Amino acid sequence: MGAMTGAGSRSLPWYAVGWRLVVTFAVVVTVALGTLVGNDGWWPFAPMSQYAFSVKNDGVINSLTMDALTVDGEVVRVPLSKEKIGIERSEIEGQAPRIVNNPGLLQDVAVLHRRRLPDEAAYRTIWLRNTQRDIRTRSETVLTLATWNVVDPLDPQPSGIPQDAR
Amino acid sequence: MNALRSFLAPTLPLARVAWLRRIIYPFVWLDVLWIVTDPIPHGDVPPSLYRGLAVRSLLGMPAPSHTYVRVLLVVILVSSAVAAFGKLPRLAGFVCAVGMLDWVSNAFAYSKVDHDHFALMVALFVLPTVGRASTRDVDVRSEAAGWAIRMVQIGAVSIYALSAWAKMRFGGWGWANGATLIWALTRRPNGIGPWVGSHPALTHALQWTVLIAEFCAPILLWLKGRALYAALLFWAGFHLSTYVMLKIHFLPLVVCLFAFLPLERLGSVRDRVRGRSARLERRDPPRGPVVDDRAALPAAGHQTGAS
Repeated sequence: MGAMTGAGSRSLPWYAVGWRLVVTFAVVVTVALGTLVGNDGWWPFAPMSQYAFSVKNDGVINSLTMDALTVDGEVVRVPLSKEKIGIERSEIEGQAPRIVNNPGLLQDVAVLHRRRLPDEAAYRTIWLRNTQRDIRTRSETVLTLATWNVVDPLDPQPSGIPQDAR
Repeated sequence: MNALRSFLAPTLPLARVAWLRRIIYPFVWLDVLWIVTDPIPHGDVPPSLYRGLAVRSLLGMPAPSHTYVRVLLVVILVSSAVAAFGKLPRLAGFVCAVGMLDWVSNAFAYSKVDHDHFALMVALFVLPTVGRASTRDVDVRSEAAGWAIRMVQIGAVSIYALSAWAKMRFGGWGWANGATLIWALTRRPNGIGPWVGSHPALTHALQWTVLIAEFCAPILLWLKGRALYAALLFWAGFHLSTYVMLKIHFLPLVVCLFAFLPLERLGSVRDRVRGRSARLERRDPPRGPVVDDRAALPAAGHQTGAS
């Protein structure tokens, strides 16, 4: 087997080699299948799909944003980041179809805002918006995808929408 | 079968594992305190926005709460610190691995999954299997060490190669001629990024370069010497350029590339530095009580040479 190459060599017994080969095979096959047929739910064997999508040279670039009307009557940009409100823009983008189906999920954004940034003015209305930028003409179109009037803005309670609701 | 065994579990110095632990476990601190910091704020997110992952359901990991994520952070920091010092390598290592599985899967359980942590997760689960390893074990070669190192290498090249396959699956064979890089540069402009983004031909050339390099990445497992170092330098440059243009660094993957290097040689560098400072001390002996350091120095040299 060629494992014993000197006094300082330590070979593994057959069973230790055996389980290592099985683990290697399982990890390599699963991670390959994850990319070839799996989805994000397979993590840590999920598809290595960051930047894997294609954007047409004459296509549009979508940028999702969230705006809010505060109880002070001011319209502000909701700071979608882990440092500020505690959830990232990319995470909201991933849940955008859910939010369009269940705008009540924006109630939970208001709850998160009160928990994380209690010194800021509370949100009365929240809008989920998409900005489409044409790569060629550089013109921008803003679309409102969902609107939610926050229930009890100063002391909002979670929506209670089930995790598996689509 | 023997060829497969020597490829997947080559006899490599235990010292390489010891040095890799000194890189990977301190990196865990950097990771949880600076890179993947989402789990702490996620503890405040109402559960309706929690999407979960299969691995979390399988292992019974709950939706994160305010206290849970803070306790988990302490567990990870303590276990990785213990493992970094080479103490309780199996127990501390496995606690750190499971803790990081919980931590990173928490970060990805809200509809945004990154793929930069695969090799690091592999490293955290295989490093404890080696057991005790010292940086002095330069000439103690072990299959257990070889397998762990090889798994980290396989984890790293898997990310590159499967990234290319994912581009074919999701972006199609025309991916390299598309505007994905322009899209990224528009959303995350940084440094020379906007200038690059205004030259479509350049972005296409960069996309082709990346795609071909990713497809060819498994070759790293067979490269040796200067060819290996050149390939590693290419990938280091690639990650540096994505950071300069997009502020995307992929550090959890970059640290795993150290598994390709003969880290065990760091021990002789350390000994040379110590030997030089000891010689300087002898030339200019300190005043006061005479301390005989001859006993310590030859011992260190002897151990390195004989082990």
